[in-house]
Amino acid sequence: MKYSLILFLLLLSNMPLLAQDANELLQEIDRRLQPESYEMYRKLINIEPGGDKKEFVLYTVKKGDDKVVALFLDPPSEKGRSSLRLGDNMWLYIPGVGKPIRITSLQSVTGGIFNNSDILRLDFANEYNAESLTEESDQYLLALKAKSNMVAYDRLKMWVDKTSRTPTRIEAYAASGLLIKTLHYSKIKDFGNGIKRPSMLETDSPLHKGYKSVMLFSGVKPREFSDEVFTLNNMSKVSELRQ
Amino acid sequence: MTHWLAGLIIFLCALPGLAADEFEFDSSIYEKKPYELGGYLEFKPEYLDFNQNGVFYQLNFPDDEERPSSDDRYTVALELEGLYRFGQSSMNFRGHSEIQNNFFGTEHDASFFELYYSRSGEKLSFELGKRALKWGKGYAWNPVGFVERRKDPGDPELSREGFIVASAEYVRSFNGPLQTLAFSPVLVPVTNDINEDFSAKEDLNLAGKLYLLYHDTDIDFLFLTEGSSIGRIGVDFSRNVRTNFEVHGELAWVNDQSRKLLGAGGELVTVSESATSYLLGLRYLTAQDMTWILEYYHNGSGFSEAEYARFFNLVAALEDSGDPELLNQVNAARDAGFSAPNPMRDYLHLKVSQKEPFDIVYLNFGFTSILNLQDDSYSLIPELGYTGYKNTELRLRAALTNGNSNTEFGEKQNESRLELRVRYFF
Repeated sequence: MKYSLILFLLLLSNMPLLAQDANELLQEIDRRLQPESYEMYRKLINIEPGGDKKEFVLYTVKKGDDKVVALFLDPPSEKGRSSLRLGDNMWLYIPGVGKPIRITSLQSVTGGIFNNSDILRLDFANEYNAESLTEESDQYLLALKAKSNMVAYDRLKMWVDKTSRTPTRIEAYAASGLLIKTLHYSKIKDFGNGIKRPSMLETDSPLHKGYKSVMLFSGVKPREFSDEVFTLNNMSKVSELRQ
Repeated sequence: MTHWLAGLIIFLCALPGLAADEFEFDSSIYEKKPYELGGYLEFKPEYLDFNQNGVFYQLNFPDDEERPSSDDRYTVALELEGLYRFGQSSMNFRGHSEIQNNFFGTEHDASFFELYYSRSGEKLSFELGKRALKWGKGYAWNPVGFVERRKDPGDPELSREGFIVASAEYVRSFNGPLQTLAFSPVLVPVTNDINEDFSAKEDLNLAGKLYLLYHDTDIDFLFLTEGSSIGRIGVDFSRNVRTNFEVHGELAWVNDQSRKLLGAGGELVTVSESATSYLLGLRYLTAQDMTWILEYYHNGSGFSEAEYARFFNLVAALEDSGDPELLNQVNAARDAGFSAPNPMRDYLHLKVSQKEPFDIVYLNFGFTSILNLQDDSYSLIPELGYTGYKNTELRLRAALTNGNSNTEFGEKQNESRLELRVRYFF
């Protein structure tokens, strides 16, 4: 009887936790990574197999569940381009073209491994349902399934540090089961305002062997914006939001 | 020796620092500043192989004794843009200057494409000055582009010169099926000195655009009231049917438009009739990152095949006789739109572009074709682009035209053109 009870408890400890707990953890991860409404600066570095690099700097503002806009500040050839996401709708504004055009989440604005979905990412809990949560020594493993086929990656496997409750690694899969890319989070940094999160995200992909992309985070801070900031009409004026 | 040693120590001390700085990012240098200045310098050598039987070749090289079979053309362009911020306002400019050397010699041109005052608020903003407004959803053509200069369908992303306007914009966002509502009225004055190429008459024009994001569809209602120009109304839309499949369209109706046609004797005659133009298009992204843009354009005020044939007949008569009166008629016809890009009624535009072919990062391969559906003539434009060098964009492009005699592309000046465009951004 005693051994049966121990066996039962052991089994229970290794069973996936309830989906409800998993989704709550996912929401907590979102809030630890970024406030609901915020501004931040990011540097994207594409590293080629030979070591050559190309850098992009983005200014991003987000509001609530479904509104985010990102503006390229560097390099000069991309300066002034902005991408807007309102739920599943995405647009790209190019100063020379002078008007927004609709784009899709899988396109890459920068070239390299990061695509529009990575640049205009909403909260994970907004796009994914957590199907299971298991424990692996000092980490949780979340299995996530996209809520709709409009999401860039059909499934994610997310390893989460138990202490900081932020991701350490994410594997992104297509609906076919093909591994599209792996994201590695590192360098936990205190950004102030209670935001303590990884400041570096490295990405590699079996589809781009030898290539690597790095995203560095800076100036992450909570900030409120009006809804009108996230409209096509404002895409040419995102630069004015900076302080 | 001591200097060498000191240098080595400094170098070794600096090494770990360099490594540590590799992935550091200080965003403070990107905060908003009062001034911004940028732009690009462009160098564009071209080889033109002339269509020596083409009507436009004969018109552009009227002297029988000096008709080259080809030409090397070189263009250097500088585009500068910048702004100065003060409070909620800013002064903005985009200046373009270029110098070109070709068969006829060297010519240069410089102008402000844009120069305007802007005041931006969260919901309401104003602009006053020279501004290049871009209306419509079409990639190659915009029948609802009521207050802008025509784009080049073969290279639609080239920057264009604006008109002097006063405009305002009021934007509201909502929760529900109607997510965004924006209204943008525009005043376009035309005098002898201002916007004189907008219309022949002097007057004040009022145009406007009402934008809705409704049920995830972009919709614009557009108008230009009767002023110095003919009144017109239009509507456009764009929507993602699937995440990788977008459809768009434009419809414009022009009231009682004056069209200049050629009479039986080669004289220009003006007819007035209402015209409806429309465009239907799609944009599709494949799993292999290939983008397809396909557009059909009906130009309601364009020339029919018979109307355009009269122009070719007039030029043939001029070639035969050399009559100066016929030359005047031909020049008048050219000014009336017979030598404008895509002057006829029905066109198809196809652009296919493959990002990073053969997994070569920053490389882009594209192929564009414009087909005149009335006379079956067409252009083919393959191109390669590369953006892997820092601040530099390379584009290698060929343009070929094909068609029977007395067809739009069959009578173009160039049979083929090879172009390298190098842009350095700063």
